[in-house]
Amino acid sequence: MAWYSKLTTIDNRILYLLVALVIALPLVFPLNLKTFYTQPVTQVYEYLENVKDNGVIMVGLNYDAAVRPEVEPMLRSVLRHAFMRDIKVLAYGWNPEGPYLAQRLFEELGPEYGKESGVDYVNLGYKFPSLPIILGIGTNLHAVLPTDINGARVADMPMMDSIRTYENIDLVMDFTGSSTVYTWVYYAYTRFGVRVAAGVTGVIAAELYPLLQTGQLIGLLSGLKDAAEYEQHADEIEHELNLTPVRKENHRQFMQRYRAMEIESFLQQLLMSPPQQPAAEGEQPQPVEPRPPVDELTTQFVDFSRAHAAEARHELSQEQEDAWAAKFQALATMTKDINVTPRCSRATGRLRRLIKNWRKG
Amino acid sequence: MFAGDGAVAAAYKELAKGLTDISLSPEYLETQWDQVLKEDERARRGMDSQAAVHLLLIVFIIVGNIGYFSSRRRRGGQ
Repeated sequence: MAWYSKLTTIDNRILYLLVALVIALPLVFPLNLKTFYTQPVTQVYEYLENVKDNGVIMVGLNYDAAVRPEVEPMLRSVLRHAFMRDIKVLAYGWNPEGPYLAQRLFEELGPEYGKESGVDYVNLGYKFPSLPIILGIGTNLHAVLPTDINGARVADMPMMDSIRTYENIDLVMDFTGSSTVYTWVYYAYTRFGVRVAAGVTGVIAAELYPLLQTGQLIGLLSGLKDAAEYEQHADEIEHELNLTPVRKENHRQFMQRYRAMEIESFLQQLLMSPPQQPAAEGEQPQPVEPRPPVDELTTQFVDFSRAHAAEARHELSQEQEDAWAAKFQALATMTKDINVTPRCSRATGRLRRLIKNWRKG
Repeated sequence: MFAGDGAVAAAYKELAKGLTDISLSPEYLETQWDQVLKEDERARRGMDSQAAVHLLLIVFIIVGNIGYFSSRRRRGGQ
């Protein structure tokens, strides 16, 4: 049999294996390919570039976990762009997952770019049904979206003073893997004239091109290719503004604050018993659980220290472990009587206040 | 009740700070920052895979066609 005849008889499993390898290898060893820019993405980028400082964009968070790998890189790049250009961001979604998935991005990117919730961005969370809200934003946003994702009042947020209707919003950009873009176009654009763009999965992009061609969408990001383009745009802005060192330092400080809070919370839980729940009428009060003995607490503390050190690829020597354990034991002994019982609740209150003041200071 | 507010606060502060310092070594922070940069290029990394697998499929199509037409010629154009 000639060599070329053999080509048609290769086992399918070998071909599938080759495909799997070619997909997996670039994820481990990146090829760092540059991508070229396409018109629909450039239109979104240029529109955002022309939004004045302290302009406002609203992002529709209508994606879910199934389309997250495709849509979230777009959202991340658009948020980076907005934060770097000091554009304020409002976020709202009527898909139950989207706002909660995106909250992680806000919590990560906000501190890195020095942006604060309520001042530079607000995630208004999940609110349903969509239609009364989209129409309601046209007359009074505060009435239809009164609280953010954490339940804080929108009316108390500095950035929301000047944002009342679509007239104060420069662009609505919907991130989705379904047809929610139509709702924004039909009701927000057609009724109130707010400009709309979209970041969508590759499979639904085809049905949105007519909206793009007729100018009902000012731009469109579709699929991973366009997400890659926007990432490049965001990187270019970051290099242009030389923001990377500042961002890195902000990230370091954020990590420190986050870790310090985590450790303080652990120490508080370890050193103090939970407050006694008041007994309901006619019931016997629950007996207070005594705090475990100091030795047991010390073991927990040493395990915790060891785990954190291991995570930081830092191995504690036996002497270091003993030294930390001794310090902890001293503290645990000092506070051993501070269980929350009626007898010593005043002392616990004092310790709690002390810790609170120390954290403030 | 306990050995003075100052002593407790000082011991608490020292422990919390010590643990924070241990768990945030410069190497660890550098690793975390690398993760952030990787997140920034997640779509481009995905496109690397897509581009590579597209090339592979193009190769498969070319090779498959060569095999098909060559074998047809050997059979006398049938």
